[in-house]
Amino acid sequence: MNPTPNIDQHAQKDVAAGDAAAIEAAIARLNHRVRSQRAVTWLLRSAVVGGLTLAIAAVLHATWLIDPGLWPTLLIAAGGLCGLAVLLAAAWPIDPLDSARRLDAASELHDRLGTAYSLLKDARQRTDFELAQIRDAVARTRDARPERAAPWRFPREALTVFVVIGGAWGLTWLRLPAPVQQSNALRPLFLGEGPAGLQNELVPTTLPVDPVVETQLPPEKQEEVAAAIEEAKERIEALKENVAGDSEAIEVVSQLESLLKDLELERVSDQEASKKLAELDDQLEKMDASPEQQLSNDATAEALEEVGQKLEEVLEKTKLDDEKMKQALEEVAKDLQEKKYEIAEEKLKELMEMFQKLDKKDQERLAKMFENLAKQFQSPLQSQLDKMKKERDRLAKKNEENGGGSKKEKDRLNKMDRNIDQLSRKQDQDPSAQKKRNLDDLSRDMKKLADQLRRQKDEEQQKQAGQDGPEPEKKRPDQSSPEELAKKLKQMKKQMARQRMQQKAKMGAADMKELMKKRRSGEGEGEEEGKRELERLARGEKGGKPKQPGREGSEWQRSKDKLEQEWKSMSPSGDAGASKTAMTNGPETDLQAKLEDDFVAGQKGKGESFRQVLKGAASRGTGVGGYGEVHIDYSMRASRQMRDEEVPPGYQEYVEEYFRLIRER
Amino acid sequence: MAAIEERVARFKTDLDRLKSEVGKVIVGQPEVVESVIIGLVVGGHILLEGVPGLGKTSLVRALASAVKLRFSRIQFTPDLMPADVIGTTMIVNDDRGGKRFEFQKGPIFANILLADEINRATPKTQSAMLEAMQERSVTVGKETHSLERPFFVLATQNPLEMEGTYPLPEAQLDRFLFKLIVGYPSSEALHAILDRTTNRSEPEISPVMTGDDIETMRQLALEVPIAHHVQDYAVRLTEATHPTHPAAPAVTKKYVRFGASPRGAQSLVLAAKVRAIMDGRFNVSIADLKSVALPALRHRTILNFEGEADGVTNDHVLSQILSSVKEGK
Repeated sequence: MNPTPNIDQHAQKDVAAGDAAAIEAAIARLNHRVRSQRAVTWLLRSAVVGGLTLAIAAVLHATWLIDPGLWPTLLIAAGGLCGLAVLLAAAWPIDPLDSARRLDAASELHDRLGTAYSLLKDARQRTDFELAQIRDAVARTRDARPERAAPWRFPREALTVFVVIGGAWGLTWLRLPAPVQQSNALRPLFLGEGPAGLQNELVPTTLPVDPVVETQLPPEKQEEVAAAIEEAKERIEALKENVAGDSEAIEVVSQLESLLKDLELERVSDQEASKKLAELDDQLEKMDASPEQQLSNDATAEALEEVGQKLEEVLEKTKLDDEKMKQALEEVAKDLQEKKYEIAEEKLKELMEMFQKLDKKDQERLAKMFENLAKQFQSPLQSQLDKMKKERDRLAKKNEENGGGSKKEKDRLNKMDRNIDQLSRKQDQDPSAQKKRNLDDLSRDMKKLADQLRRQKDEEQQKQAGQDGPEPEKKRPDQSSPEELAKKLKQMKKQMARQRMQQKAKMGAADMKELMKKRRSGEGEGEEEGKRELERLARGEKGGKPKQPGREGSEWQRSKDKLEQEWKSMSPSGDAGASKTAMTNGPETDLQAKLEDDFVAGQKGKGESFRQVLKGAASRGTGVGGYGEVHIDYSMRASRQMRDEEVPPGYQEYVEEYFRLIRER
Repeated sequence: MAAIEERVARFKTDLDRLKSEVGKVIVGQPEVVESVIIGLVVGGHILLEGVPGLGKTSLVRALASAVKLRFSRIQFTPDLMPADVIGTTMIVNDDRGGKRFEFQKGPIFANILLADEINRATPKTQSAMLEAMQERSVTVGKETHSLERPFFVLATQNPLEMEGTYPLPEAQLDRFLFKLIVGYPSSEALHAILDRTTNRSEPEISPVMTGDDIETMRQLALEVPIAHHVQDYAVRLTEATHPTHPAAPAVTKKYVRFGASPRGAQSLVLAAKVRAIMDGRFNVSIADLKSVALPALRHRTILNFEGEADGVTNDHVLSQILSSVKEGK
């Protein structure tokens, strides 16, 4: 960079050509040096600033306070800062007179250059002496030593740069566990109960994050949260099976899965995750809008509906003499189709009573009917699976009889196990797997029912035909047809009851959400409850209850009790699945301090000993009692003792003063 | 053009010769000798302070001998009257037998005046020196008598035996260009002094320049350019001795009652110019100013009571000021 001429050319008429240039060249050499040093220094300083910025960003990143997507911006900003610093250092003006003076001082020129430069800048007519001075300065420019005026030295900032940038780089490796907010957001995923259905599991996920729990969660819980995320993944997998056939629910579950994956890979911030969860909440609220419609999506409900339809079809083809039975079955079919599960339940009860009164013909027809019904529900995949299982059981039994079997047979058995597993998985992957499972179960039950009806009929025929014959085989307990049929019907009823419970739970979900919002606003003991919730999660408990407020007797508890009562009322046994809500930690501690005076009879000495029994912890201070009564006693006893032992009066005064000071006021 | 370089070179040579001649008598006091020569060239008066026997009078005598100027000495005593210094009007017989008044010049009418132990004279006598030193003229009655150029007063004073002395007033002190402290010579210098003065041979000083030469040298010295930033240093140095100035260092504010006057700044620059030429340079440097700062300012910086009580010297205060004033702004 050529120096800008600072000396007025018009003022150099009396100066020999080249003298001014020589002076300026000497100064310019120093200026180059100063600029380059300054550029390095400013670069290092800006690097320190940039490094500190990155270090702060790294800390924020490690503590989940900034979005990782900001890193490129921060790096560009730090680089830009350094570049700007270098440019500014290079362009920042330098006073040539200062440079001349530095050269004079460093090169022992005794202000020759500085004076000459000043004289050259002066436009007035110079004297001979001044011109002589300029000539003298020009002659001494060769002695100018820029390297002495601006010596290179190791920049002190370099060490700071290394430390700061090294620290920032090190901090980038630091990644604290995800904050509790994410686990809180996902925590409701753990609260669903397996077969209870989609809505029961998903509704809590839409609940807002509890900030109290989030901010006060102790750091040691971080690992538990990570484990909880893992568990959430498993639950989402389970959810995917349960929502088979419901495209809308599948979409929501897949979004949840994607969000969980993003959280795990730290691709989304807490804010984004919360936002996404809020969106899912909206979707689910829309799905909540019509519980009837929602229930219709349920696989079990569909299965029951289909059962109703098939039952109706089969009834049309089956001629039952007992019109009442036929009518009852038709009504059951109709109720199942119309989702009137309670009415269907009552009709099934009536059917159980009527079954005892059926004649043999109708019993046979009914058995055939159920057999036909079962055949209609039997899926080819399930048939194949049953066939393979039978074959596998046969082979296993054979091997056991042959003492374990040969290696070839063992390999075959293992291969069959693998095939069964694959087929089971294939069946599970079927979008309508849940529905098919339900139908398969129903098919098996109905087939068994038909078998039992036939067996019962055969036994009665044998009984009538061979009165003198051998004693009939003792009836096995599982072949008692009325009881068995009642059992099967009871299972169906239970299934319907579960549906009803699910519907109730969904209707209560909105109330629960409201309660959770209240709790978030500080009504509940958020921190303690959050800790308990996490501890529960860490223990692997999967109780299907959503977040509870921390206060007993709260609205949530009332809602829960109500649901439990309803469940009990629906349950035939009345106690299946009933939860015990009684307190297990004993009664509440009484904070009222109480004292009870007592006297213990002394075995030796005179009279009784006085004692006081503390009955409870004082809510404030120390529980005391009887102090005023004993103080005078002790004080007098001390005075008497001092007199007896001839304690000097001066010391007695101290003791008496002590008792005066502790006197009850 | 080359005349300047030649004149400067001759200037330097002449002063070197002068120093050499004076050095024949005065040994071990190079700074004092140089400062005295600077004062001689500039035309400023010198106040020499030192205990007796350090060669103050010998220095003045040697200088007068080397310069080929008229020399006179006045031993100041308490009963010395101004007329004893300046001269007096006396009745004299003329050639025609009549009588008339005639001014008899005193010892002050010389080119180099040694005012020995000037602080022993009364203020009245001391003040008689004021006009002569500043105006370079003497007024007796209605007549004013000009002193010959160059007129150069070298006063000495003894820091000991302060009883019965009359310290010079500030106004008179300010008229001195330099106040030089003559210290004890080093061992080598003392050996040389003994060698030269305790045998039969006495050093002979031959004159190397005349009064005209000194006047020419003074004119040349006045032409030496001083850059603005160098002169600015002299200004800031002077201001730093003022306790009321914002830029004054703490030591000034604490110990100084009065600082250097503009005459002090003039002394600084003039002395620095001569020193630059003596060094063969054509410009004044900050180093020149620094080297003459102490002798030029020490008698112009008046300490306050606190400074006196703490035993602080003027040189100590000035050294602190010199270290506190930056060379650049």
